[in-house]
Amino acid sequence: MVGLIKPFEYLLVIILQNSLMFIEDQALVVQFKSASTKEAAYTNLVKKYQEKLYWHIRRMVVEHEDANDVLQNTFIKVWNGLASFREDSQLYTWLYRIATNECLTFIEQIKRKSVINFDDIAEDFSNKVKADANFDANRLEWKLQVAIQQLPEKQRVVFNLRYYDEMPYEEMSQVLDTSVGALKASYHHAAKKIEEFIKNS
Amino acid sequence: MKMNQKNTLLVELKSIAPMVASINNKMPQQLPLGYFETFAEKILVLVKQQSEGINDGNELNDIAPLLNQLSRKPVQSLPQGYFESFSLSLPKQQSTVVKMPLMRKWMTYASAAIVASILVTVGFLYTDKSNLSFDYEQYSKINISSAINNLSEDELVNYLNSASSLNVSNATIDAELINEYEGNFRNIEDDEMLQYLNENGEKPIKKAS
Repeated sequence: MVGLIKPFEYLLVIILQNSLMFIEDQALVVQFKSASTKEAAYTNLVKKYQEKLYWHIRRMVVEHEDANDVLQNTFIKVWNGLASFREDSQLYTWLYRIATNECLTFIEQIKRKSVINFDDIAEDFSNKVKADANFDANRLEWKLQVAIQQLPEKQRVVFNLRYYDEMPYEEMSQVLDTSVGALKASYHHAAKKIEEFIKNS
Repeated sequence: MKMNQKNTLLVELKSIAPMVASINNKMPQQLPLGYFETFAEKILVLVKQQSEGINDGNELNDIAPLLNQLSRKPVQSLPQGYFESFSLSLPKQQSTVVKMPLMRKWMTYASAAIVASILVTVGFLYTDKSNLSFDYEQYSKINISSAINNLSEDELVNYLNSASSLNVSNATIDAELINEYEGNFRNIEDDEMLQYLNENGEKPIKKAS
């Protein structure tokens, strides 16, 4: 009986935490839709999600200046689109979806401007990682960063969301509009490739 | 909950790539100091500018940076106290409204009525009314069968030839049908014919004595 209570409590805590987050986000959306509380709600929303979204973007675009630009574009889109947010998905997944799309758009622009192929882009981003002032080739954390840049963009997103943001596959499916099965397979391949790269580097 | 989720993810990664699972997943890159403290305010300014359509000068910096450095105050001078004494002077006279005389209005209506009545009268007078009336009494006195018997063969043939060339409401008439109908009419008695005419005619028809 005692053994059953703990998992039940755990489940209850998960439900409560998710509900609280959901209610808090709902309140922010409602406040944003009212003219008198729009700016305050927006500021609170930015402060709540800025760090998570920043690092998600930075892992994709590598450099801080680029991450700053993409993050600004993301939040401008949030300002423009939040009033018509349908609430059929969680606010959190909606934000991640915008940020991810902005990252992919940014990367596409780089490809078009420089007319280079995928392998060169991977090399380009790896070089940006290595150009960081704190880069240490001997540290596994830096080797991991370089390895992640070898992945195709979509696989990189999947790996980052699962490994760093600890996002459940169901939520990731809403962010990337991909089936859970495909995401699991993608994560599996990404992790294998990264390990292979680190072992061989 | 977070610990349990972390454990789940760790177990999953260990089964796929144990070496990657052992790496500390903290991001090694650094951030500018105080970046997040001021980000929210900066982004709010940006979105407000975007909403109000304010040009923060960045666009001009790319095209003509010198123009951005110049003052935008007007350089022309104004007479002193111009706006204090400025007032609109409206014309005092109102334009006259010319009314149409009442008599002239009635004259116009009368002349229109006269023209309309003339047209109706002319139309009535010159319409051929000869086809409109049908003298049933005159025809009811005719004995049809004896009248047909008195017709010569040439007259009948001529009649049939002219009748077959008649265009009856654009319909093509089968010659066989014509013969059939003619045959049927020959078999109709006078009484039956008169009864038909009475039922469908405008005036009652008396049987010829």
